[in-house]
Amino acid sequence: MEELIKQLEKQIIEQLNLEDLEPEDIDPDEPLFGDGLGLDSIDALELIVLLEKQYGIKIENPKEGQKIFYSIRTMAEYITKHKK
Amino acid sequence: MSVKIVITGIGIISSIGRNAEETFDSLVNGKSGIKKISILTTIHKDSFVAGEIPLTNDELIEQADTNLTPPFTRTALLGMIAAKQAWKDAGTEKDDDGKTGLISATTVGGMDRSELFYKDFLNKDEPNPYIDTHNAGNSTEMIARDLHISDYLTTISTACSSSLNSIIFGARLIENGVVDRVIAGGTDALSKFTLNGFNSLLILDKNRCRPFDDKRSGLNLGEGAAYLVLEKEEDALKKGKKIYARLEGFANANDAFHQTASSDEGEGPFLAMKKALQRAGLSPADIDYINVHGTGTENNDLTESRAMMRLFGEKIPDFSSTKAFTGHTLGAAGALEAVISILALQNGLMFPNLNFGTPIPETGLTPVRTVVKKEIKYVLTNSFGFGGNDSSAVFSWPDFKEKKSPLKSVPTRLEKPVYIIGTGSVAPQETLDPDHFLDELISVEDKYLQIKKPNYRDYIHPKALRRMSKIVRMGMISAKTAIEDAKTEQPGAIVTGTGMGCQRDTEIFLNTLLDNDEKMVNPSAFIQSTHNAISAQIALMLGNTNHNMAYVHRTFSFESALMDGMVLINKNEADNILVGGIDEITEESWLLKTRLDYFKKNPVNNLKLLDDKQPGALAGESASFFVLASENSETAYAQLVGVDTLFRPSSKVEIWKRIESFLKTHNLKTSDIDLVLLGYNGDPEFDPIYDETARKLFENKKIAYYKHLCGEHDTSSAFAVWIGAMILKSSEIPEIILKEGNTGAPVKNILIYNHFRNINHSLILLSKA
Repeated sequence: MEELIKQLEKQIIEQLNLEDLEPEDIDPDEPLFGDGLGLDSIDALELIVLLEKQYGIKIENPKEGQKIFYSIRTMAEYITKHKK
Repeated sequence: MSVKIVITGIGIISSIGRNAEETFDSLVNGKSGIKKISILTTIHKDSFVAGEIPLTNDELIEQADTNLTPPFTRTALLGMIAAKQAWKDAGTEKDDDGKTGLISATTVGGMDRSELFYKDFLNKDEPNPYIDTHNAGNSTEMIARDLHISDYLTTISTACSSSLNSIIFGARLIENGVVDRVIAGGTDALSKFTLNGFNSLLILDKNRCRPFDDKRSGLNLGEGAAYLVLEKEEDALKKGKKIYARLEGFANANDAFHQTASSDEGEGPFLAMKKALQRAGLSPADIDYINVHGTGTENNDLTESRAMMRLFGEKIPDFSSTKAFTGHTLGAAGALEAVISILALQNGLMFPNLNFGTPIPETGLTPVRTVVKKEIKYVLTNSFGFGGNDSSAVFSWPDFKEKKSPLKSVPTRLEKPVYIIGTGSVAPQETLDPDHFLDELISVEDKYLQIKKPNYRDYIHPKALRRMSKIVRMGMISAKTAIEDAKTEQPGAIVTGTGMGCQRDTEIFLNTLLDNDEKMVNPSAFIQSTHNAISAQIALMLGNTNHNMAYVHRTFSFESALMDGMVLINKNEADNILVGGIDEITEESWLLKTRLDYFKKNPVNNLKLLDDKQPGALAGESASFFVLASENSETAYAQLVGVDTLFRPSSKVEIWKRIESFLKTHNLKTSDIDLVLLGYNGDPEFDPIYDETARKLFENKKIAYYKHLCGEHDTSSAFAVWIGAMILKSSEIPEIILKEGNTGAPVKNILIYNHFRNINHSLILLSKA
């Protein structure tokens, strides 16, 4: 799980072009949206692409994303459960 | 409105009909055009339905009945078909008086061909003619050539509100006496680009869309084109023309909230509707029917409902969305629905909002669900787009028997002076340092010129920066500099011109789409690829909800933006208007244009540009913004006296006559011009036009040029205006721009003359403030 978290941090920084951040700057339990990392709805769509591209997981309903993308940890948990 | 404007012709083609009669027939019989995709080649053809016109391009060519020869994009064909209908309907071909303009709109232009051939463009060193049909102005120019319109033409691209904005700008041009009649509308063909783009945003319904239904789950795309002929009511009555409707009012506002979503309370939509009613002198209770934007997405229908509830209170007029008939035709939607609104007005009928079952619980609104007879006096139509670009217009069926008050004659030139009170430029030279004016030159030997990169973080928050491509950054920085320079807090309008728009984002999206076989494409690049992304980002940065527009017609783009700013000031509709021109160069766009010999293939030393013998121009990029105001001040740079455009002149004599008549309109002669700033770009084939013009009209004057400093790009004239404004304010002429004459003797009047490949010629006149 911790390895997956590290990998995700790297991938998110790259996919979302968060040039200013290093993986260790992101707290895996911190909310990705709103007060935490401050991501927005367009980033959510990019994260959906990331899940499909890197892990073969397809999310059709954007509403599902809210829970999955709460934090890096919730993402990692979801991936572990659904990875093909 | 002081000048009453009426509609005397309509033309329409979409999935529900090839003309107005067929469209009406489908609307009253509930026949939707949304079906399985059969013409477009896409892996999604079994996953999504669309409002596709069931005709191949060959069949459309036949339908278009034109003498023009290929290449034709599908977007251009649709536009030609609908525009010709409107043109014939209004009997415009018989109008031999006054000036006729063509204002067209599109979102993705010739993308329907570009996406088929893009890899060939990149990989095959051959002059594929579709390279030059990609730009947004192409379909407009095809229509103009087909109908022989050359007095005024431009193209607007503000995402899904584009063609309602063409109607708005067309009406303003008539009001200000710039032209006497316009044909205004828009065209967009279905493309893989938009289908995948909207799919990446997860807002496509796999089934037929259900606008305003609680279970709605997105939109269906469509394709089509529609045009209206607008003219002065006075003229139409005098000529005994049939009149469909009067355009009573209109407005554009910006939501300034998010790149794609509307704000919760629908601020932009609310303001657009409210201001359109105000301009029409109507109260909300006067509206009988609204053809709503109603795309079927969760966000639009909820926020549009809330905006209606804010404006109309308890008494919401009857409304319906006709997008479940046509699909969302993007750049054509505004004009398409304007035509549908006029059909409602003419026939005293409201058309059904198909596929509606249950109201949205938060609002409880129920649209018109069947064909309902109703005497309609005033109809409101809404069109909203990405970048928070929101427009509304009101049409009426007036009682022409009533006695009319006599109309005043309209001036042929704009009466109110306009001043440049702030400037900002990002270019391949040092332009951001106020203490230097082209005195330390950057000389490079390269295949194209790129901007001197500013430290972006000094201007833009890193968080906002991460999603911005170079062109957006350039635009934001020059806009910000101009606003601060003018000490303006909130511009009264934001108007941009860009010939090619966000090329890099378009390339990223298109390449990913083609390389990954339409799978896993990135939404960010799609969102940023819209032509109004820059004006929208500026509105977001400033929280500015005012008029927000993007003109996208090749080397007329910046000139059209200037015209919009000038007519807004002329009628006191806005002041302190931010106007800019922006284009970027990318490796791919440069490569493509070298295939056509538009751009030079091998490196050139920019300061020795005019000695280079290679075919084509030295490519480049820049962004220059200005704040235009009606009041002169001590700190003003220059007076912006006038702007004019000329499309495909038949000879050099026609160009020279136009320059003389343009100057004469402003009470000047060629001898009054102290400095001529010419658009020499190093192309040995076309630069001689400048040589001859200088010899013929401006003997012994200071002859200057500027593209060795910024390179060729569609909005390079904005950089020329920056140079001109700086010269007039500082009374200094940088030596490096002079081709003939010297730096001595004061300069009072500057004429900027630019053309690209002898197609789009433009004139801008600046004088000492």
